[in-house]
Parts: sequence; C-alpha cells; structure tokens
Amino acid sequence: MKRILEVKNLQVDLPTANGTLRAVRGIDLHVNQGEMLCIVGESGCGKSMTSMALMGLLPKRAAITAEAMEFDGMDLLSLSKKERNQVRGMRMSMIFQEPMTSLNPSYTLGNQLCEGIIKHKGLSREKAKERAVYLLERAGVPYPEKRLNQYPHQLSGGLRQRVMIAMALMCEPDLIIADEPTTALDVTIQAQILRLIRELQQEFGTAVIFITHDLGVVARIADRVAVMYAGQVVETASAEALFANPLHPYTQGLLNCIPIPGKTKPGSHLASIPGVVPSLIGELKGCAFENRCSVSTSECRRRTPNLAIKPSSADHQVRCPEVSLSFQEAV
Amino acid sequence: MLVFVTRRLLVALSVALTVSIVSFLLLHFSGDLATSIAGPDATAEQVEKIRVEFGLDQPIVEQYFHWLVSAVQLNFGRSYYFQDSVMSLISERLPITLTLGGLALGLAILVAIPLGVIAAIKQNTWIDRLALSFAVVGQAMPSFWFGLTLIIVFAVNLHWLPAGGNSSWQHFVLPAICLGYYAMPAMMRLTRTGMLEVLNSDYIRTARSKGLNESTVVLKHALRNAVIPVVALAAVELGFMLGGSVIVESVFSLRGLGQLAWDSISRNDYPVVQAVVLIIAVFYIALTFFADVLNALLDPRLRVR
Repeated sequence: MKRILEVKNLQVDLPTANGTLRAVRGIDLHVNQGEMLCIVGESGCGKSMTSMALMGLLPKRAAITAEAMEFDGMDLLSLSKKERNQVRGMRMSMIFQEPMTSLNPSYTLGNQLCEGIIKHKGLSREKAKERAVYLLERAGVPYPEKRLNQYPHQLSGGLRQRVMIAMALMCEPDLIIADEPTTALDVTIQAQILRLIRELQQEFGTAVIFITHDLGVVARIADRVAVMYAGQVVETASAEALFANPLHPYTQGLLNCIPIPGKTKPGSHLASIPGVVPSLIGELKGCAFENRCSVSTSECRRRTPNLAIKPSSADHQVRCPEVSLSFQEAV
Repeated sequence: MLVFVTRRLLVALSVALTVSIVSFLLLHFSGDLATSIAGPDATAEQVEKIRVEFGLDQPIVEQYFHWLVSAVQLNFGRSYYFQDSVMSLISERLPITLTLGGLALGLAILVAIPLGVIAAIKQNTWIDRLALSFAVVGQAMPSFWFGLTLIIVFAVNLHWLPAGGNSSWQHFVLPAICLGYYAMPAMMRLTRTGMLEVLNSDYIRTARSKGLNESTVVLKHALRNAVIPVVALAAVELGFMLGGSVIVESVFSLRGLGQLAWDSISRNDYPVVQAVVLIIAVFYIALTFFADVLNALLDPRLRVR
C-alpha cells in the first residue's frame, strides 16, 4: 500500500519561561493511502502538537525538526510558504476540536466553505457552491442550500462540526487530520459524527489521522493505532492486534481503565494508572513511563528504550525494554 | 435587519427627545433669563417687557413645546448677542466644524487601523514598540502645544501651509493633523488589542488550515472581527471632536461650532447655547446609530438583538 505520509523522528520544542518544553520527542509515524490512523494518548502527550506540526500551524517560536516529514514524496519542512499553502487546504485539511469557535462568526458558511476551493482550484463561485451543497448533504446537514447563506451562530455545535467536515472535504484532500473532533459534542452527537467520518473516509478513500484520548472511539473506527505517551509513540499496531494483544504496560493500563458493562461490578473501584505524567520540560532520562509502570526495573531508569518490532508481526511495534526482552526470548 | 434598524431608530429618537428636555430645563433653571437679558441697569418694566417679548411668561411646558416645534423646523430663535437668527450663525459655523472633524477622523482612521494591524502582526518587535510610542506621544501631548508646533514649523518657518483661518482647504490641513493625532492613539491601540485577540482565535487557525494566503487571513478573517469595537470608538470620537474641538479651533483661528458655543456661554447667549447643545447631541445620537448599524453589518450576531 502506498504511504501518503511518512514521519521520522519528529521533534517539537517550545520555549517557555521555565525552560524548553519538549512537547514531541521523536515520533515515527506513517499513514497509508485511505486508512484511518488513530493517535491516542492523554492530555499533554503531544498528539495535538504533532498534528499542528504536520499542518504547519504551530507558532513561529516552536522549533520543529525531523529526519523526514514527507507527504506524498514532498518534504513538508523544506517547502516554501507558498507551496506549503498549496498543500495545506488542498491536499491536507483539518477538522478541529471546537466547532463552536472554529468558524468565523462574520462570514456566511457558504463563503467559508467555498473560499479554499476557489483559491486552490480556481473554481467559479457557482461551481464551488454546488460542491459545498453536495458535501453538506453528504455530511448530513439538512437544507444544505439554505445553510450557505447562514452564519455559524445560527447552527448548533453538532451541525457546525458537520459543516467543518464538509469544509475539510471540499478540495478532495488525500489526508484529513481530525483533532478530537467529537470531544466537545454531546455523547449522542459524538456517535453520529464518528460514524459520519468513518463513512465519508471510506467513500472518498481519504486517509485520516484521528486524534483522540478515548480508546472507545479508537475501537470503533481505527485501522491502525499509535499510542502516545510523554511526546513519544510507545506502541503502534493494527487496531485488531492492539486490542487483542496490547504489549506496552501503558496501553494495558489504559485498557484496564475502561469499565466493561456486565464485567465490571457496580460499586467496584475503577482501575487507574498510579502517578502522574512526567514534566516535559528538559530531558527525560530512561523510559518516560518508568515511574508509573508495574513491570519497571532499574534498567528502565537508565536506558531510553527504542521502538522494537514484534517478531510475528512487523506492524506491531512497542517501546518497552521488558517487552522487547520477551521478543528476544521468543526468537 | 429591518427590525434591528427600526428598533435602534426608535431608541435614538427617544434619547434625542430626552436630551432636548434636559437641555431646555437646565437653561431654564440656571436663573431668570429675562433679568439677565435685560442687563443689571434695566427697570422692572423693561424686564417685564422682555419677558413677554421672548415668551418667558408662558407656562414652562408650553415654552418647551413651543421651542421644540420651532427647533424641529430648525428655527432656534434669535441670538441675544448678535442681532441675527441662531440658525444662520450655526449654518455658518457648522460646516467648518464638520469639515475639521471629518478630516481629522478620516486621517486618524487611515493611520490608526493599518498601524494597529501591523503592530499586532509584529507583536513585541521594534515595529510594534515604535507604533506604541507614536501612540503614547499622541495621547500625552497637549493639542494646543502640538498645534502651535505645527504652526511654527509648517506655517512660520517652511511657509507650506497657512497658520489660521478657513478660506481654503489648505487651512484645514494643520488643524486636521493636530486633532487627528489626538484621536488616533485610542483607535490604534484598540485595533492592535483586537487583532492580537482575534489572531489567536480558533477560526483564524481554521482559515490558515485552508491554506489561504496570509493577507487573506489577516485582512479578511481577522480585521473584520477586530475592527468592530473601533467603529463604536470612532463614532464617539467624532462626536467629541464636533463639540470639544474648541482648543484646536482657537489655536488655528477656525471659527467653528465649538468656539461659538464657548463664546455664547460667556455672553449668556442662551438660544445659541441651547441650539448648539441640541445639535451636538443630535449628531452624537446619529453617529451612535450609524455605528450600531455598521457594527451589525460587520457582525451578523448583532443583527438578532
């Protein structure tokens, strides 16, 4: 399968008053054409930073370095501003977390839906509007023609997110980055939006990076999963393999935290991972998860682990010395 | 939108009516008008004669309605000091003040908005600091001093522009700069703050994610939202300049409305004072109304209210 996005050793550093915040600490990612990659992790693990770096939306003071950040063979980091704007919006687009504030209050939805495609593909206003109406309809927005002349404040949050989804699809992008697009919505609306994104992704054959902190969401829609912790990918696998056989102690911990209807007794204590996420300011020595891990050894404190490939399945990688030790024993 | 405009119009009219009542009453209770018109040496009969002549013996409500009906017809009676109708005095002075105020405001807007936008984009750079210093100087410098400096440099030394009077457009250049520089800083700072806030908003990130040019992002998506409070401020500033430009008018010997009001107060020329207060108030109200409508055009969320 063709790789649409290839990221090697991506690092994002942000200067703060207390020192350099190393938000992303060497991430390797790839996205195949037409697949849904879920990046999952808790708040502050660098998943949003990664998506912003990919879109080129980080503030200027953020320092981004990578061995490779290639989109369809183009090196995103060396593109000129103009070329970057061409790729962004036309071939890559983004859906944001906050539908209530992500649309400009002063312009009609039609204007905001159409401006990208008019700029990138030189479409006439009429043709652009036709496409907007078609996509609004596909995104489940009732009365799409009428919406073009409406303003964001006239729509509910769920509808606005549907508009954002239609907007992301306007230029038929190869990759959509969805940064927690359902977090700000009601649970019932969340399920609808998830289904919609999955449907449209399969219908249009668009690759999607879906960022979430919710493993339940991952289980429903992901083809592949990357679990992030403290600015690094700690485990990556196909969704099937990850849920059937989670290897990293952090992934196992996360899965244990989810109460299962019928299995978790009412009134029983819910599982949680002890301890807190380490501060991302400055260097981290050893494994970032070491202080919260149930299987850590003194070795974990000394050596920073690398991603190791599971022998039986090349797609399943894990960053844990204890687990990679068991790989070696198995071989 | 029509409902919005009608509602605002009704509010504006009721405010105008209130102002007319207040200004009428204030003047009425400031002392016995007939006595002060007649002067200290007048006999009781003379005062009584004046009282009847000016209708001051009528009940106060009747006096007010009489005055209001003529005021609506732009008839403000005769000046006590000049033997001339108040309207002809005002129609002579008002265009001067309006020209000065309009030019000054135009100049202030033309400088303040681009400068505010640039300062926000280049936040915390030397460009930003320079723009802010320029604003602070404008805010701190007394306008009479700045006016005199302008006269000394451009009229007396360089002979580029006339020092005073109002016979040609050149006469308005220096006063407009002087008054405009006074009005500019507040607008510039408001534009800058507004832009900084808007540029950090989610919808600007959305606009960027669409791959739009930076100029489209800044001028289309950010500026329109940032400039909304500036519109309201500009309206208030213009209203202020119509009534309060006395200092600049006297420095440049422009015989405008402000100067007329000032002189008339010291001369106890009540009909003129009353008329000027009412006219400036009506301008204020009209400006606020236009600012409201303009804001509603800029921000669709305001149209519902």
